[in-house]
Amino acid sequence: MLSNTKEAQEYRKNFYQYYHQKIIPALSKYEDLRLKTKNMFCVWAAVSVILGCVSFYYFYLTMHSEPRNNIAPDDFLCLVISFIMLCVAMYFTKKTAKDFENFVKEGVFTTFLSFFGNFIWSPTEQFPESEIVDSALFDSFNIYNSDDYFEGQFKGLNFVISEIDLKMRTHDGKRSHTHGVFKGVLIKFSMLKPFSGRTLITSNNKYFGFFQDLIGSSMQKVELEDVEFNKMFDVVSDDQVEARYLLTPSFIEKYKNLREVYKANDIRASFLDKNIIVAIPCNRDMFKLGDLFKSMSDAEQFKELFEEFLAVLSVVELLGLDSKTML
Amino acid sequence: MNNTDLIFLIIVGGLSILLYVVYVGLILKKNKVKEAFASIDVQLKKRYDLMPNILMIANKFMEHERGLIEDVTKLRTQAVNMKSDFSNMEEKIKLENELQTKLGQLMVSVENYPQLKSNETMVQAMQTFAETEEHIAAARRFYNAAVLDLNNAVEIFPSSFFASMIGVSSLPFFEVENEQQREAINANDYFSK
Repeated sequence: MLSNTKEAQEYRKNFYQYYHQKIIPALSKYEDLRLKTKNMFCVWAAVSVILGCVSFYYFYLTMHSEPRNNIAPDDFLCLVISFIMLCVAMYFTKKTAKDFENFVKEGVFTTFLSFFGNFIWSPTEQFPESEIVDSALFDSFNIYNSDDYFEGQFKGLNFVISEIDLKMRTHDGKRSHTHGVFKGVLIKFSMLKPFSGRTLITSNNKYFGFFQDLIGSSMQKVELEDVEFNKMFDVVSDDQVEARYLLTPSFIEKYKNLREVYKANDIRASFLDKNIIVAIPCNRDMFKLGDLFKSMSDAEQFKELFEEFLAVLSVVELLGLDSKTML
Repeated sequence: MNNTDLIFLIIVGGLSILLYVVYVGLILKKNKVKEAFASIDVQLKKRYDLMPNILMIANKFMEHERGLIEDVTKLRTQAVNMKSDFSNMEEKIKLENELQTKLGQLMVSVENYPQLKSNETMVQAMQTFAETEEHIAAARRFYNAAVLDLNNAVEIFPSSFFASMIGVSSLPFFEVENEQQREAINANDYFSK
């Protein structure tokens, strides 16, 4: 996925050794549990399929009852009961897989993450919603889900990483519509470079379309010298000088490169309260571990997980956040 | 009122609105340049305030750079005393460029004085100084962006026509005069080695 920086290559080389020495020994105890959980998962999945067929059968009967609109009470009752049971079975199917994933993550992530530094993973914590709103990076939303949450220190910088999914549900008469606002990874790093105002980088034409009302009139558009950058992104700030202090010509180049590296046109960043929050859109489920249908010794899932972490942490190097001058 | 009068009124009304819009645009751009120029001044003030501390410490250690230190001191005094407004903008820019060149030379010379490099007060002063220099560079970029916007309006028709009527003219950029000045002074470079 990423990245061909010198440091990333060094990390890859070291991780191979670390995987064999530290991670593989920690995995053996999970294999039996995986097999048991997989069987349980298959049972729940089979029950779901059977209940699905039963529900469909009763649904068919109620829809084709003769005469029309004269549904037999027994058929309807069976439909309701089978449907409720189907929902319960589906819930347990999903829960079985998720519980195993969390169990493995809880046990293995500590070892895995210590390769990168002092990291903590939490299945329950969330990126604070107030900070997401304050970052002003997104259009308004009323549904917020998050999956994995990591925090710790990397290269002397405090960070928070979380997978988030923001949606907006609107009601139009009796019907409700839900549309996605943002799905991807949110990364917050503390900044060494001191600043006091707020500056936003959004993909082109996003700001004036979506965020103007949210932030108010104190934010002004910042026209930078880089024509290519101006075409790709909109920059707004409440301090024209500070915006340029943060977005130096060197940072501008790095940010353009970040867009290339992640192949994400809609990459956004917000400088606020001594931190930078970077939002990288991504449609797939990241930081996955504990796949029931893959052996615990399957190195591929760790390779993928490692690359995902490397990609996210490379933001520090790619944007030069670990130096005060961000060069 | 006949049709001819109505058309005449519409044309006059349209022209008046156009004139007003162009006028407002020019004034806004001119004020933006003033704002940007003032923001440079704010940052320069920080630099002037910090310079005596640096010069005082440098004076103790850099016995072979007396001439350079004196030059910097002299230029600083001139810069502090110079009134900064639109009328002497070109002079101000020239003086600041000269001062920055000399400061750059002073920073390079620090390399030759290991004792100075390890002096804690100097290290702190230089770090603050580096931050100030970055802010100055940012303020200059803001100023240049505002000047570019104004100069385009002043030189391109139809606003050029109105600009000469209301006395708005092009303004000079804060340009880098030599290669040494091209990169903002980064005092950290001299202390991190």
